[in-house]
Amino acid sequence: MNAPTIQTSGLSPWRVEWLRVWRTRRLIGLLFVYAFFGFGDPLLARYMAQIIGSATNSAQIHVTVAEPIPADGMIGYMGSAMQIGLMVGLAMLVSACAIDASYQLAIFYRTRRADLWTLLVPRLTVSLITMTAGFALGMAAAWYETMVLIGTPSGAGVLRLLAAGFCYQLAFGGVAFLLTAILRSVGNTTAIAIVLVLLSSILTTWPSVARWSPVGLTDYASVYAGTTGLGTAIVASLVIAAVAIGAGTTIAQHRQLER
Amino acid sequence: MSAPMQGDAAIVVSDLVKDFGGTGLLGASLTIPDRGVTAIIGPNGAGKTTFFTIVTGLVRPDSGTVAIAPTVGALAYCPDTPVFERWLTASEVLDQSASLARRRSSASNAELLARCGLGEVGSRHVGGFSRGMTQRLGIASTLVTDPRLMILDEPTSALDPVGRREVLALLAELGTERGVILSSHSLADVEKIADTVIILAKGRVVFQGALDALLRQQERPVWRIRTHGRAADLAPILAENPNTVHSEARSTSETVVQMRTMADGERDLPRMLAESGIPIVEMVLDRPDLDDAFAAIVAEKSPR
Repeated sequence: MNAPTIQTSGLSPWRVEWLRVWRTRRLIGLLFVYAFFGFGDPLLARYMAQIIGSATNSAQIHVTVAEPIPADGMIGYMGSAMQIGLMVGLAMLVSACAIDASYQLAIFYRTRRADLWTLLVPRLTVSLITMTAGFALGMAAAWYETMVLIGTPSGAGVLRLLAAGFCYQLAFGGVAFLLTAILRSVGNTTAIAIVLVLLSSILTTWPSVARWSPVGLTDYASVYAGTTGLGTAIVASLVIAAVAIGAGTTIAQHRQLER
Repeated sequence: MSAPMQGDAAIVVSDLVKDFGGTGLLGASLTIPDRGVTAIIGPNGAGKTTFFTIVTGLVRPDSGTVAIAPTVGALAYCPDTPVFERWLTASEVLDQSASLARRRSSASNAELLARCGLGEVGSRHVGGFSRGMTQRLGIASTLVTDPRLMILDEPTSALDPVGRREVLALLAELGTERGVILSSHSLADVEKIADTVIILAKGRVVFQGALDALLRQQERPVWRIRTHGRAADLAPILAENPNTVHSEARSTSETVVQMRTMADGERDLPRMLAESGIPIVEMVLDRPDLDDAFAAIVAEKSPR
């Protein structure tokens, strides 16, 4: 019989996760979505007046649209990125982190690695990095497109939007991770995570609560202009993410495998 | 889950219960030797897979103990239809398996894949594999971790007859160097390679022991006697013996005779045949195969 040797290299969980986002085209898909909004939303802001004008070409209706300003291009991108872009990113995250979604595949992993967090951490981290990279790429595209079509956006405003976007993604990524640990099913978890993203906007009608939650980061006009403090919303996002990720890992670790 | 270990035992299970509403394991006690091929057989729902998932730590039992010998160290489990990440190559699956288990056989991926009949497809993505190829890869992915004990749930269920023969030969070979536990519904396969047989029925062990012992246990004192014709003459002669239970000519050249006991047959039959003057071609004990033994023991000992 061959003598066993301790594995010191090979296909580590981190390498597997990079292969997952690359070979399954998830990276390209996500980058495409964010880039689409990055290039598309400033274009929409620039020609909004013409689009609305042609849609309401009537003698009875006269619509006046304000001249676009650089903030419009960036805020338009944030709205799309933090809704549709985030939903696509969460779907990707859930499918990567749902380690027990396939019973037979879960057997492969769980019978080889008892400390499940060593599998979950790379999955979550690579998913979040991919989402963040996509969001940043889209932001760069939006900044370029806005500069060309409308005018140069404020550097500080763009940085504040970036920070707000990162924290918002992290908070919802953490919540989706926790849901994955509880529900196992990719489809159900993704659906619930998306519903949560959509419902969270309701909190914006309750400013005193929104300020203390990640939703406080979605008042993009104020964030861009710097007229509202982000501190409490950022702290709330980081706390939610940390608690959700810790709870999700603990739940997954202690759960029995079920068919 | 702890219990004292017995010598040369890899796994000792006592009164194991995992009740899924009347199915699962309902008080199973058994011992798995640390070498050779041990086959766990039983009807559907007997508790075979439940036993595997408990032993591998995937599921916690309701009660009972499982003791795994410290010498076993690494234990590997391959389900009946293993699944891998579709976008990895076969060779990468082995690397991933070894990396996850933090153990690696000194054999190369190419050697292991060739041993499992996948020598030509190491660089192909497993998403395009047939069920049989995936099943072979499942065995290779356990072998790469060089386990002392391999648990294989129906390892030949997706294989064609040639593939079946190859994998059975591989498992028999592996059984000489480590412990191999397998389940199978193909009793012919089990009969070919198993050293020890454990029969589960309705969540309990109804037989455990060597395959030969199982077959011997089910032997009945029935012999088939082949002659050059004259079977119709021989049957009444044998029936005259007071120790004969039944004697019947099955064809012109075959007579079947049942005696009261094995000893009666071994003592009386040669004498009666010699005295009959009928030329005998052969006289063989009508031994049950594993199918017969399995059916008989499950019917006899299954909990009501």
